[in-house]
Amino acid sequence: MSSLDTRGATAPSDQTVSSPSNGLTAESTVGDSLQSRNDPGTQLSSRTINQNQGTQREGNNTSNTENNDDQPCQSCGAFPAKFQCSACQSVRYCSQECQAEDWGIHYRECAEILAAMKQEEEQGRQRSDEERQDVEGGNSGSRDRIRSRLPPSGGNVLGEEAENVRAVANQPRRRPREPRRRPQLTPEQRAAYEEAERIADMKFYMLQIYKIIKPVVVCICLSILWVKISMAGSDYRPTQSSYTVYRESPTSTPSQNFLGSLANAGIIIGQIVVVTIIIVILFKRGHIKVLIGFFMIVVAMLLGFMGYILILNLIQVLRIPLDYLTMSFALWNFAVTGLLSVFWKGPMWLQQVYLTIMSSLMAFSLTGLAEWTTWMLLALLVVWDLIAVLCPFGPLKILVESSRNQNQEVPALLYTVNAVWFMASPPNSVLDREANRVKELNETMGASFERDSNTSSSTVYSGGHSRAAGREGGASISSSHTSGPDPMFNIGSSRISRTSSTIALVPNTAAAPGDSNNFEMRERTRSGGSSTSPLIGLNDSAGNGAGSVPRQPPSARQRGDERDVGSRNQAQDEHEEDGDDDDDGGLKLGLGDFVFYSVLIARAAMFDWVTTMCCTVAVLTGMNATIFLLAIYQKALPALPISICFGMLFYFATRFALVPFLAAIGPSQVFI
Amino acid sequence: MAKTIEKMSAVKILTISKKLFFGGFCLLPFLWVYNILYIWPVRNRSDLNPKVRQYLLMSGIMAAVLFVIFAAWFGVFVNHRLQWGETGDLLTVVLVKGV
Repeated sequence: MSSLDTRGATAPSDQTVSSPSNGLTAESTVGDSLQSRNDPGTQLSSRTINQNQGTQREGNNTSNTENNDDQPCQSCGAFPAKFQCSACQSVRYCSQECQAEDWGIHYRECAEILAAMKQEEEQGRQRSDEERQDVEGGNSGSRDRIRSRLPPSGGNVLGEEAENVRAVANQPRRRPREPRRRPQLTPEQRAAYEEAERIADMKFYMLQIYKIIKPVVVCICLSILWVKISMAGSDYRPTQSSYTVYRESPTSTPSQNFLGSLANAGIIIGQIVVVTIIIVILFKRGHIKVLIGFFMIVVAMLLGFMGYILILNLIQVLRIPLDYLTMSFALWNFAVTGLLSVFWKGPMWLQQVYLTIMSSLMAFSLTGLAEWTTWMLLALLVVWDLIAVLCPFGPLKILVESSRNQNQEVPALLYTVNAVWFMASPPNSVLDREANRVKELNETMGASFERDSNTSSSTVYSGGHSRAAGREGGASISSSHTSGPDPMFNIGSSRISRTSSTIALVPNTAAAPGDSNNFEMRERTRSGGSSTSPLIGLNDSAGNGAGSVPRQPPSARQRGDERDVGSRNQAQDEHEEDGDDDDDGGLKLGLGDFVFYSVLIARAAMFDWVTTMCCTVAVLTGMNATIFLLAIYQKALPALPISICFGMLFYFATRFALVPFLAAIGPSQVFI
Repeated sequence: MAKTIEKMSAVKILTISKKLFFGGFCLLPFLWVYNILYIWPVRNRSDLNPKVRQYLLMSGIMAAVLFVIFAAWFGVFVNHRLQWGETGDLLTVVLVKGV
């Protein structure tokens, strides 16, 4: 419903992007939709287009067809080519400038493609006419109402734009397309389609694994380096943490050690739990700024103080004469630059470097814990991680859910491979209010659509720039995987402090604003996509600011519909209904997980190299297994358990079996 | 923010560059380096204010100067800390053993 308005509201922006081909836009809109109805031959693409209609109908338009996977910008060849020629949809551009540049070349083929489309349209017209009749009426009333509420930008629709709007306005009439379409899909086609989708899924996750492994390995290596350098000094004594109540001594019995370390680890876990809960509460209450301030302090402390401790260790071991002047100067620079790059703007690689260094610093500072305490802590963390992420009332689960419900990103330090963002969307009270109003209007649409319309309308109102209409928008599944030079992993380093430990490998709850990458996972994983778009809508408003170039429209609905058409019968519906935490976007791996992987391996590094290497392999394998499970279950999963269990298993197996074995066969020169 | 420097408007780039350049005067030469690294990919954009390039140039020069100053200071410190006696020890973070 609201879709129309969406289209209307955004028509101006639409036009800006598609300016060269404006005259053709309206035509093609009709053409596509008609065309889609009657060529089952090109199953995939036609379905996507249909999707468009469905999407527009429900308000959440967007689009993009699937067939232009990772197509570069036609003009400059750059990769995030997020705009399409609105007329023919066959070429993509990264910006308006590029499109304008290319128009001189493109207009000819554009005309050809449109001519071909028209032919198909002719054939399709009869059939669609029948359809139209049964659905005629009903929608127009509320449509008009909504349109009257549109911001003035929607009002000055001129010339082609008006046509554009009209063309789109026709779309809701075709509503009952879905039931009719379904029989058209033969079982084989459906199976093939699902299969293709599953394959795309798996490929996507494989890519993610590659992307995530690099920073994790770097972080682990840094931790090993710090530990090894520190250990090289003969007098290295790990500084005992101040909040340990029990100190291990060589003479104490295992049971003493066990209970004592349990107490120590319990204290640390208690801190983690408390801080996590505080964060969840703050987030639910909407005190985003408090949270950001908290994280800034944490980062500053980490960079400054832990950096200081590390430097002390290094200069002591390496015997570098260093004066206070130089050191404070260097630390000051290091910390301020880090803060800026993480919280403000900066080159992406620098942010990534900083976040990796930060987690390795954190891991290094935790090597001060005594051995029993470390293992106990890791074991308890596994349990806590499971509880927090999987239990119905686990704080992290609540965090993920409320971030979805509140249309807000979790303000957390996120290490993304494509961009580090630290962005909390402002509490868009105005938007919400307006969204609610529209929601009321939309109630006629039926409960199932309420949410979507709500969200989509918030998108509309967020400045009328979120590209409402179908085609320029979202990227197709495959194209978005690869479209950027960047992967979409967010390694959420939320709570670098102790809480960080607990953040799970959760699906990205907060898509980076205007980043197509983040949509696609949710597109694929959602069926009804009940709550996908809100995030994007807000992101759009928050990220692009007022009046900037409209970026991605939420393409989630579209895919959701696609699913509905294609594979409604699947368990996907369950996801929708319990609104559980299936993916909202890319993956997030808590930096806390980074830290504790590194802690485990740093502890192993204090023993010997064989153990270190075994543990590294084990932890990385565990991480892969977790991502694999994520691909299967598509819901928030704790990242620590598998990795840590593997790591601990390998640590003890290596330490008590492999190393003695090697020590025995080494001297006797046995070669196996 | 996910917005990369390539997608920013020229005005925005100018503000960023300016902020970083003046921020650098709080004894933060890293910010100057940061400035250069950050703006570098778009330095040749046609719509860019020529001032941005000036800021970059100045940043580079200032960073180099400050780096030279500190390198010189560190050299002096390392070579003379023993002669300075008390003062030298006071300045040293961790007294180096065996020297």
